[in-house]
Amino acid sequence: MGEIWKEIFSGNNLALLGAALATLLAGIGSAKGVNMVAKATAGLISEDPNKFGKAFLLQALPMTQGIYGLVTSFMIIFKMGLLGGGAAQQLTVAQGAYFLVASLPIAFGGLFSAIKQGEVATAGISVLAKRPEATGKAIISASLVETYAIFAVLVSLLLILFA
Amino acid sequence: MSVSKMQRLTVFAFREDADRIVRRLMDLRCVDVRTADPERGAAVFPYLNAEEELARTEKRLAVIGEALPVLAKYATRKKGLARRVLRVNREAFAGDGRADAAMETAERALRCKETLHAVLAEQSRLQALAESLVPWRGLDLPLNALETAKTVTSLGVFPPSVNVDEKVSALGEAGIIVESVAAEKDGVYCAVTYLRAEEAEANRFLTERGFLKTELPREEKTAEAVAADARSQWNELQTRYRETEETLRDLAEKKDDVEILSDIEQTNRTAAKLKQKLAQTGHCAILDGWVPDSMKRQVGEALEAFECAYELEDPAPGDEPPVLLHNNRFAANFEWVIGMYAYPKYGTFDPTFIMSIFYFIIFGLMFADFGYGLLLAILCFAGIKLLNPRTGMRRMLMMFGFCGISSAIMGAIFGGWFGDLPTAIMAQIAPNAVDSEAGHFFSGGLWFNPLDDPMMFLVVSLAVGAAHIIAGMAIKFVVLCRNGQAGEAVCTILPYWVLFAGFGLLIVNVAAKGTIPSGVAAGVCIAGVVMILLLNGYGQKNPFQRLIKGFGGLYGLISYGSDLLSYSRILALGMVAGVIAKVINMITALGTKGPIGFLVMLVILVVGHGLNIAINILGTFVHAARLQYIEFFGKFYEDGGEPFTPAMPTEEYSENITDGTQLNFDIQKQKGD
Repeated sequence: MGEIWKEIFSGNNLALLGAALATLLAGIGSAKGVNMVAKATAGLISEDPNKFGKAFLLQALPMTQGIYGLVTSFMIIFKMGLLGGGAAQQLTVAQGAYFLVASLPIAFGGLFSAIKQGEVATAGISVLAKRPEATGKAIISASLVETYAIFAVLVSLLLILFA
Repeated sequence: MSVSKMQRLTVFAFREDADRIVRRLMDLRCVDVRTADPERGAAVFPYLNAEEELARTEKRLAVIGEALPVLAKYATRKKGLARRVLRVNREAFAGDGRADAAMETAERALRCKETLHAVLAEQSRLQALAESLVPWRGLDLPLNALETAKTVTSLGVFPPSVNVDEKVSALGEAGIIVESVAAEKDGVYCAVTYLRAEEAEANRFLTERGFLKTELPREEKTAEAVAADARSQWNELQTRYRETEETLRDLAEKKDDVEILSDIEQTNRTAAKLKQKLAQTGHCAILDGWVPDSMKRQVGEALEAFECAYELEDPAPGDEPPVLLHNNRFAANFEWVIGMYAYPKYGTFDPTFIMSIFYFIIFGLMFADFGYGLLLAILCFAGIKLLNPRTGMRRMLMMFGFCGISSAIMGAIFGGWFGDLPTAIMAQIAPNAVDSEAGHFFSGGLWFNPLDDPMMFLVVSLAVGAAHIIAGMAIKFVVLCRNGQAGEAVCTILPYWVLFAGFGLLIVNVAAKGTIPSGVAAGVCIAGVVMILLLNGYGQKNPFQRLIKGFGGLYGLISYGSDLLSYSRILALGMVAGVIAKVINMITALGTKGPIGFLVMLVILVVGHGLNIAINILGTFVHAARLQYIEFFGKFYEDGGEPFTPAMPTEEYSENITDGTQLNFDIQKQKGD
């Protein structure tokens, strides 16, 4: 029995779990965030289809967390040597756990910041509907939330690069 | 570089000159006409009435506005991406009847559109009729001969589930004669005849068996003849539709004239709206407005041509003149980034030039890739060349073009060439070359690659950030000194710089391993802290409160720290773009076998890098702007200015050429077109 657990929680698998979590959780956040803005946008463009261009910018903002997650996952996979044709390294449990921990900032930071950014961007859609000239400010407001996703991906990437 | 000085313009003119004066000022494009103050001394004047004129232009514009899309649809020369500007002398256009002809064209186009709609509606009615008559082709009675003195014949359908033959006998017993006309999928079409006297009973009997009556037009013809009529009418209408379309195609040849007329009428509307802002007395009209100081001579000369009195004066203390930014040809393209935040208050510092330099550098660092930058610059500059966009769009493209150049430079310094494309290709075709000098150049750039040494790039990012923040503080310092508050400037800003210098020395000490005596750095730091403690409470008389403000100043260091760390986003965004590019190149390298593999590779490369550019430009643009708005502007900016919006003729489609009296003054609408 113990052998099975050891095989499941091998170093490589822990690192892969980290890679999976980064894309998975940040992706869920982005999907939810973009979804919120897109629904509001649908209401807006049914009234005024010409505003889609600016609405698209607001929709695209919560997309970035998912991309940060993807980048983090790729960095972990790089470091493990799974990409690029060479043989994969065999990581120790401690090394694998390190990658797992390194993925957590962007996994959770991405998850929550994307949803919260989506909320601000959704509010921005109503700014676009009522005062289109102030949309730039709404875009900047939404990007303030992203700061924390940026810090999260920064920490994740630095941890992985220094592994 | 600066917020332009404004002059308040007041014009007293005869009412009959008001229209000409307003239009002359519109041609100058440098007067922001304001609603005149109706109170002059003790008197209160009403506003000039231009309602009738306004209503007339609105009506004409409604026709033109509806006609233009119709004409565009039938124009043989389709609207290209490039903006085409017609050049015409509007006065001559209106004088020699072309304007009237254009209005006629617009009205005819609208009538044609209405005809097309009517024809379509009639055609669909005829089609429906013809279709409803199809099952009745076999009925040889004229449709108006269904009733006699004693009998009634009803046409209708039994549902398909009903077996008519079985029913016939049952109906026959009830005294109803059934004649089946056609059996279709949706039921059996029958003519049923019964005695008028038994109508109610027969109806009940039929309804029970699912009979649905059909109403057909009571014409003196058989169903087939009516259907044939409908078809021939439909064909006639089709001919008419084609003819009307042909007319529209002819009219569309004159679309240019209608477009020019649209500009003229919109200009008329602007003029009428401006006139309503004028106050009037018995014989005079009073115009209030703002003129940039640099243009006051030209405005004066223009007004001399009229019999009017005018006055140009400096803004009074309570006034809030509109803000016109005046910048060099590089920085002017960044003004709209300021506009996205808020315009500076009149009379305060215009940071556009300094901001544009930092924006240029920060954008380049975040989007550091030679290939991406070059592509962006080429696309933007080609866009300007080919599309001939309006001022707002032109400036935006110029700005992104400059940012592309910055990205290309930074990409060369930090080793980004569509990510690591050159080394990725080398690894495929000549693995030895990766370790050569060229390989090292491509992977490391002129300086180093952030992916190899992220900490070094973090230092670069924070150094740019420190410069940015200190520049913001320096602006505040200068502004305070200019306002005669040098004491406050020295006490509240200088101590921080002493402390920052101390931090700088500490860092240099660590990096250069103690070349500076360790005491010096620490000493400068301590001096800075003491200066903040003692001086930050500038203006407070009470020494205790001064000290509290001093501690507040020390606490404020946290915000400087968080501002500085905010610049780490330069590293993060730069790395994200770089890593994604690397991944794209790596995925590409997986499928390079044979010609199909080559094609797949090309598609992945183009689509992948295209997406990476699109996503990262958005992020880079927004975050480079954010660093200006929050970290930079936060140190000194006074917002709240209202953009200068001079009254000007509409030039959506055409430019007005006049006989040279028009001034060539390049103030464009600040809000963008």
